[in-house]
Amino acid sequence: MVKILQLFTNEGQLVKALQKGDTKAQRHFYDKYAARMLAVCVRYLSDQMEAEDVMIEGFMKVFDRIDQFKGEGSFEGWVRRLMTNEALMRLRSRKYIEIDIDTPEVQLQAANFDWVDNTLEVDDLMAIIEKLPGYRTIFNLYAIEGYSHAEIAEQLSITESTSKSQLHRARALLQTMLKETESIKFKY
Amino acid sequence: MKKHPIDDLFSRKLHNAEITPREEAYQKLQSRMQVKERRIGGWWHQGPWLAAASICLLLGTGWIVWKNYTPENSTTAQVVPETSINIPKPEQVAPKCR
Repeated sequence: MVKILQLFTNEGQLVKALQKGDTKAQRHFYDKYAARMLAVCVRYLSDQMEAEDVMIEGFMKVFDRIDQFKGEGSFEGWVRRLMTNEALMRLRSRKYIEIDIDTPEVQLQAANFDWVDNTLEVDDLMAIIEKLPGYRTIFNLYAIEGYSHAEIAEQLSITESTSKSQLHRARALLQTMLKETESIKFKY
Repeated sequence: MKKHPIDDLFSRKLHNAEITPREEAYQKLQSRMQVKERRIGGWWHQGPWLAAASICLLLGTGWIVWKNYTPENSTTAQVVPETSINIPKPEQVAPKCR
């Protein structure tokens, strides 16, 4: 067992073993990435059971397409992209992607969020993101996954300017929600 | 390019966030993969067994046909000469002239 684990400490060896369809490598890969990938899926789909289902489908895609990974860029980044695509596909199939264009523009104010680092946990921030209405997908893709507006526009079949305005609204709303949370935490 | 403070805050905190899946999630993954393998590679993976079964079927059928066919051949082979002997030739049965 120790020998098996040592074999997969190197990412390249893990990828090679996965390409051969090695079941031990698949288990090792799952144990290493499942929790992180489930968190990715939960950010897009609030329901944890559905997110878990999407994560499983995502892992199947990874095993299916592992030959397409040519070692260019990070392996985790490639896996994360497959998971994100899977989550977007699920959202599309359920018509969950709503783009809110009626909310008026909100001006962002300069604010300091240093307090968040010491006060809010991951769960608190996940709960805040979950409350975002139609902007959640765009905020996730841009701010956390690092997609460009052009990529988001292509993925969601919207224009780049819609993507930009939605992101702006998402930021403004998140800022408001953080301020509210701050006032509750510190009882202003 | 400098990241927007809100983007930076959520990205730092959530990019590597983890939520442990339920124990049965891996079993689900395994069973779905098995179903998929069976569906995609069904005929291909059953190939050796199918080949062996075909050979057995061919040999069995061949043996049955051979067993039923051989005695018939041998009977006709024996009967033909016997009947040819028993049938008298016209010149042998021709009445003698007085």
